[in-house]
Amino acid sequence: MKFFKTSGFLTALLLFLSAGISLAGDPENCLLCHKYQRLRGYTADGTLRNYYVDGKLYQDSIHGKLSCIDCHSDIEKVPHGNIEKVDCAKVCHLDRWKALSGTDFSHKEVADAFNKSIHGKKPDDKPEIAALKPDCKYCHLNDLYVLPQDIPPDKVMKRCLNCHKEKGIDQIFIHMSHRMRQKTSRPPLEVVALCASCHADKDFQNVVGMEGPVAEAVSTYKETIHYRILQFGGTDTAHCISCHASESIHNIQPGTDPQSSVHPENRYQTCQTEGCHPGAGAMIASVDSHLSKHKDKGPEIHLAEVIMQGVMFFTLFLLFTLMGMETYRRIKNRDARFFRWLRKPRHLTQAPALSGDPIGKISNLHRYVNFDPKGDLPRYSLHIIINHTLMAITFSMAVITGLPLFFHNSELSHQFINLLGGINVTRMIHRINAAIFTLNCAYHVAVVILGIARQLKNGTFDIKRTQFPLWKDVKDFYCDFRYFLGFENSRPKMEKFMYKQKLHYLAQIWGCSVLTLSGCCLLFPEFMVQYIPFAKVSFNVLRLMHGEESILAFLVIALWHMYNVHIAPGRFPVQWTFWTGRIAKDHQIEEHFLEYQRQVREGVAQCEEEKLLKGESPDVK
Amino acid sequence: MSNNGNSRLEAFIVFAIVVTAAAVLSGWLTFSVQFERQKEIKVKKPKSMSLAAWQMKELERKQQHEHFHLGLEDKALDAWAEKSTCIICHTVYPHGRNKQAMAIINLHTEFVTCNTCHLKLTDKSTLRFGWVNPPGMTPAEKPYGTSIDPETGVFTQTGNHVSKITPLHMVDGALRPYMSEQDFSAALNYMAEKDTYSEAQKQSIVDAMHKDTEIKEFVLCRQCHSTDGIIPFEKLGFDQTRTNQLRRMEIGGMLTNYDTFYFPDLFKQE
Repeated sequence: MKFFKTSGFLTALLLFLSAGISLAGDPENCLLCHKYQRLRGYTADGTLRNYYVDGKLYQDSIHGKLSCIDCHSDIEKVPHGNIEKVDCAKVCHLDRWKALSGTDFSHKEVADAFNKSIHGKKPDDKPEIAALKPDCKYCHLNDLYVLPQDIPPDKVMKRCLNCHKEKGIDQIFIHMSHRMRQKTSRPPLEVVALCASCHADKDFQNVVGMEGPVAEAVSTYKETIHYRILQFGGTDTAHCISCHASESIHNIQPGTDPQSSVHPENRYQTCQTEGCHPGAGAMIASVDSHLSKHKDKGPEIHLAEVIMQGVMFFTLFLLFTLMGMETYRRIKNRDARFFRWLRKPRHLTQAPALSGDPIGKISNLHRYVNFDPKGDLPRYSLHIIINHTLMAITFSMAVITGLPLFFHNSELSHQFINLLGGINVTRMIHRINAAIFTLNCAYHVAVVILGIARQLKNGTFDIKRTQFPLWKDVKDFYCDFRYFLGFENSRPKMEKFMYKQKLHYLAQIWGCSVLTLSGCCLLFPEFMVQYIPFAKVSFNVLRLMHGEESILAFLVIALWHMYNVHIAPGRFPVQWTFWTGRIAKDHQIEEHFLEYQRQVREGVAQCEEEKLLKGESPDVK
Repeated sequence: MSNNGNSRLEAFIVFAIVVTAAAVLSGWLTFSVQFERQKEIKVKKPKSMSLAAWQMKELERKQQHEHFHLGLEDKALDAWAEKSTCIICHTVYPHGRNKQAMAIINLHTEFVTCNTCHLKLTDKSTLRFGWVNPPGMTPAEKPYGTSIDPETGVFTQTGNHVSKITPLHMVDGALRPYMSEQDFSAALNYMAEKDTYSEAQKQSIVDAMHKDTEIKEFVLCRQCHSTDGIIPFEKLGFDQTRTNQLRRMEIGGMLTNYDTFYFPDLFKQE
């Protein structure tokens, strides 16, 4: 054996000479072998293991001044055979540290703090459980301890070097600057992935008996806006460590432990840290920031989601049915050609005798009149046009910038956010549009209230001309559907706002209220949680509904509203009412006959029946 | 039946179709929205990356908690993954039988083509060696591993991680590698379709592919790593320091001379 040791020594000398150069932190010249990227072999169970050590990376790291056997202390031979895992809590013989502090350097205190946490190994842990618990290296990889790229090191180091000329000061700088930046050096998504390697691994959870909220911590976190921002590259938001670890990082405790940073008593202070929610009060503790949709763990969220899905299904079902039947009937009755500009009035072949009031004497009058594509009759005031235009722009922009966050797992969403300039730009666009959207809603309410007040003052107010739902609308719906099915020869005579528009308007009132309120909950959580009733339940329900409601609103507008206004046969490709405020005669007579009648009596519109029956209409050949 | 009756029947048929379509479309929209948004992102293989390189990346990702010293990306892996007949089937870590030396042997796949060691030739003294690149690549920089950075003591950084040493032979008066590009697609086809072949067919293809291959490891070390080795490191562009290291077989000596190499106590800390 002695011979081998002596021979080994001589060989080692020979190797060092032949190698010529060894790194400062590698006196044993381990990189002789370990500098090769493909230094990999198989374990007994066939797993490929990587033995590569990037010399430059190691040298630049906080551990770069340590030799390999300082940590891998049980390696004595080559090939190494089975070696123990490195114990980070062992004493390091750092002379400089000892000279400064008079003690040996060790990570033992950190290791002890960690072992007291929920993740640490406990004396009463079963061996198989203890073996599965994470050690230091599970989270801390050496490449995290290199000089931060976002701080110009030379500039900062120059200041240090004014006084500190000692060898090794750069290592201390790395250590300190690394610690000063944030709680962790890992990118936030890596932190989530690291936690997910246990907290989202069902097989692992079954083995260690992890259950309850802690077993779903990652999946419920992924439902939050915090995670979605991270997913799109944002950084100014919370990840696991932000909330679950205090400044000392390693003492993560279960939420029921009074020492825990997420214990209800401490939660609001945690929300306040790092400038996240400086105004967070005690009320925020009542809200669970993880959105669990499980019927047992988050019953209110589960119920809200089921209701929203039901509402969405039945709304879409009703609208698709109406759209399908209306399309069929319009084509079947040849009410109009599909393209609006190809439409020509039909010839009136069997005209009734002209006697008395001619209004309403000609069935399906809209088929026999011509129209101005820009609109013939007044319908909307300038205020409503401005309202509609602002609503269309801001809602579209909010949808465009919000949908990617809703479909946060879609690759397309990520490409789109990148196209917009990143998540921070997208959020800014979304918020600006949401603010204008909300102000526009307030403007509309003011227009409506002042308009009604003026009409009341003038004695011209007529509830039938408003969006207020009346029993007649139900009857109109019934009769109109009978017309679509072929049981009626003409559509019912409807008011300025027919049943479809009232349905749409009511839905819009609901949608705007929910989107505004829920948007405020997302934007100002610390403020909103104090004032909304039943915050413990309603706050998370509203947060969930922001996305769900906007999807429903988007589908209703993209499919139903656009169909009725611009896509239905005879309306395609566009009606200009939204811009001119005037409605074409054929449309007014077909769907708002009572308003047409009123306008004729008020002298705003000409009586089309009279013109037709007298043969004066230029539309009749 | 009257025209009116026909018309109503038609309307009812249309109504039934519309209701069914509306139910299906509404259901699909309602629930696909939920499915779509709850679908976890699966890290997909980039189209430009070979399957072998992707699998290796995935393995490294899974093992990241177990390797404190994470290293740089293996830049040569993807370039050669589908451009080397041997690697397509055997991966870049084919050596696993010799438990003591497997990792040391495997590291060679970064620098030499497989047939550098495994070429079946009775007289290797006439062999010539040169550099070969993956088809379609012509790196201008010096190959990685040919020089040592005197400041850092590790390999000089270079953009060329793909050039490999390979044996050459004379073809029509010009020196060409033994590698044949036609074999790449044959190997890719074999791997894609091997489950459809019978054992006899498999054996026949495998035999044909390995007709010029000699399965030897380790014992050939000194044929290259010695002062009179067959690979002319200097002519291939290796600097003097690296040439000396390779000729003295800096690593191999530990494995060939001693069953076990003990670290001297000299380096133990007090």
